[in-house]
Amino acid sequence: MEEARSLDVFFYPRSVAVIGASRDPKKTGNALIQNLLTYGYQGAIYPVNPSEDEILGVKAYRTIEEIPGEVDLAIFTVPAPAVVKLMEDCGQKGVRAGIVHSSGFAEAGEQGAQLQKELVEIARKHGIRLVGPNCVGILCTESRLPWARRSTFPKEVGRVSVISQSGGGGGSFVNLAVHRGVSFSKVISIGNECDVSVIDFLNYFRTDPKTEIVFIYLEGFRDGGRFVEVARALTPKKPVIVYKIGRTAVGQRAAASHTGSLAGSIQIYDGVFRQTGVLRAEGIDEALDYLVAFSNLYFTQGIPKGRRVGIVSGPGGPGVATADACVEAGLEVPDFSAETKERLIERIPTAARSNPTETGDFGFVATLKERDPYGALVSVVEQDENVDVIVMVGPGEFNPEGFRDVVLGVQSRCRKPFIVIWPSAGEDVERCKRDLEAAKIPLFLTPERGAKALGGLVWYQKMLKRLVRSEDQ
Amino acid sequence: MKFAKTREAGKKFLSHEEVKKILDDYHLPIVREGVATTADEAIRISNTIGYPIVLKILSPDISHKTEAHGVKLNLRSGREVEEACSDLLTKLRTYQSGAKAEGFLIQEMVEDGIETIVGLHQDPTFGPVLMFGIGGVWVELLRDISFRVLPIHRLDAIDMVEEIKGSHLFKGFRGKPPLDTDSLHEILLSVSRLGSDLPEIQEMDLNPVFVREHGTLIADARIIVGL
Repeated sequence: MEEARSLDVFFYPRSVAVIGASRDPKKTGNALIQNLLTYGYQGAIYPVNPSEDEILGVKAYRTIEEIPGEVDLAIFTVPAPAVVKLMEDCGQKGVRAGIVHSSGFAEAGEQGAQLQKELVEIARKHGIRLVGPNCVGILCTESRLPWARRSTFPKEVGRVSVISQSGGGGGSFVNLAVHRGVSFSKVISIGNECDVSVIDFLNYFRTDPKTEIVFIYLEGFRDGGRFVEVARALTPKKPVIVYKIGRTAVGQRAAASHTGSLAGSIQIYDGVFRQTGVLRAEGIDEALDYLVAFSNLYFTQGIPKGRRVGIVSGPGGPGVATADACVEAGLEVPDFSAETKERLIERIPTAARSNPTETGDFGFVATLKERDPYGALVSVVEQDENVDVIVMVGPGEFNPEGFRDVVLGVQSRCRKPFIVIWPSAGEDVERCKRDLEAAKIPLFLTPERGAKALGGLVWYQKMLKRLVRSEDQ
Repeated sequence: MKFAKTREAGKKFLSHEEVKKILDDYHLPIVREGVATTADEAIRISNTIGYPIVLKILSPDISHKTEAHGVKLNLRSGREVEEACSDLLTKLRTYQSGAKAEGFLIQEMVEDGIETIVGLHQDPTFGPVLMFGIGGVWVELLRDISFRVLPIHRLDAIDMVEEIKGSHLFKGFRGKPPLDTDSLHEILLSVSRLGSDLPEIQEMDLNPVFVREHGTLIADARIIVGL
């Protein structure tokens, strides 16, 4: 517990020293100062540069010792050998933690590995925790601590935290997810993991009150046994979603047994993930869809209590396609109760009485006594006791504003979790989709993607019951 | 020190006798079997087990018995057993000159059930892992397998069987009753305990493991220990 909390300083430093701060806009040491200012970091900023008095209007210091106040976090953007020399100064100064952006360490061969070893030795001697080297840093939406080598930042404070073993991949993923309406708490580019590891941060998130969902952009674990232990403690409390790269078999060897030759790495990772309740996304699309589903449903409407889906569609074909996709994703599309069927016809005479039901006239033709036939169908289906979750399938390009308003209306009164699948495009449709995403509606482009995301939620719910039970044992 | 005899001999594979001892210790159900050093003895044992039987060559020099043509299936009489014994010895010499025959393994022939594989393996990241999958000669081609790290719980065993593509084979098809997967789960749990208790085991194959209507039976086992 105490061990995990010692990592707080990486996200909520009261002061940041940028070692290698620069006036040159092309340099990371310049971008970082700029980002600290524009992102709105509120703590003290100390640029360090041996030959500058001021950088971007902030007073600069020649050495770390010269800094007048205490330094919680030192961020290094100087070349690798200089990092090693300056780490000693940081130790003298009493710096608590460091993020090393610089490359040229263990990833760069034997000489770099030696430098990294020296770096860790110096840091350990002074009790400095290190993230990196060879990373793009840490971002925290609450403290407005920015990453360095990127120009876009998630603005909204959210409850998803990310650990990435790829600086570029993780950052781009976050921006893609922001585009889908997901908001974040903390994003870590972990780099070479010379000191603090992916698993250390996983363990930290278990007790971090601001993190409710964890996403890992993963290459591989060094200590698989500890991952199992930490993941088992984490997943009953917070969902963990993983996107794993390097899925093809590594370390192929001439195995003497069938078991040895069959043991491809991704299959073992999959076994471990299932065993520990971690949800693995098959690709970036699926990872984004899971995050949209979890972050929008988990804390608002709630996770579906079961796997039974009630489908309400405008057009007929996409409704059937959604039913297929749901079944293929391991969900059920049960028949409606007799009462529901009766009420459907009563409210909308043209409606289909089966599941999926449809308005029969695309939902927006004003020939019906109901002003909002689509919403009326959802209300009827919501009350069916055979339905755990509702899937609304959007119309074509006709009257997207109408459908958007229907969905927002459903959001305000529906008591069961629901998702929206809207397989249409066009300028007006896109604008309406952005509105829905801003309103935290779990929105998906295709039946297959929506159903798969829902399947992930239902799987987690099923695992949750088991994980909590085995925790009690 | 465990497996001292094997280590002394510089071998990686445990002998039939050593494997059988470990399987018995963990109550793993093996087909009825006996070991003979002569053809006459093989016939006597076959008569006791009852036909049809399976005859396998035992040699410290071969581990993949099928590859070495060291297996005779579906032998139905003492005469067939006698012929098979002499044929196996010839085949062994053809496969590898100078290969030493220790004797013959005579096993009850399982004629029903689905062939599966249960295995243990040391993963460089996660340590000992348990594998389950559809077995038999197609195992490496189908790769219809699931893994878990040790130790596993009963629910993990159930999941391992459920999540492979071939799981519907156990549920009964063409009017046949479902197979006894409970006994399969017991085997997975026992192998998990075995793997946790004996970290010296680098790799282990139980293949084939016949899942049947009543009970599951292991027909062959190989264990490789670290030297």
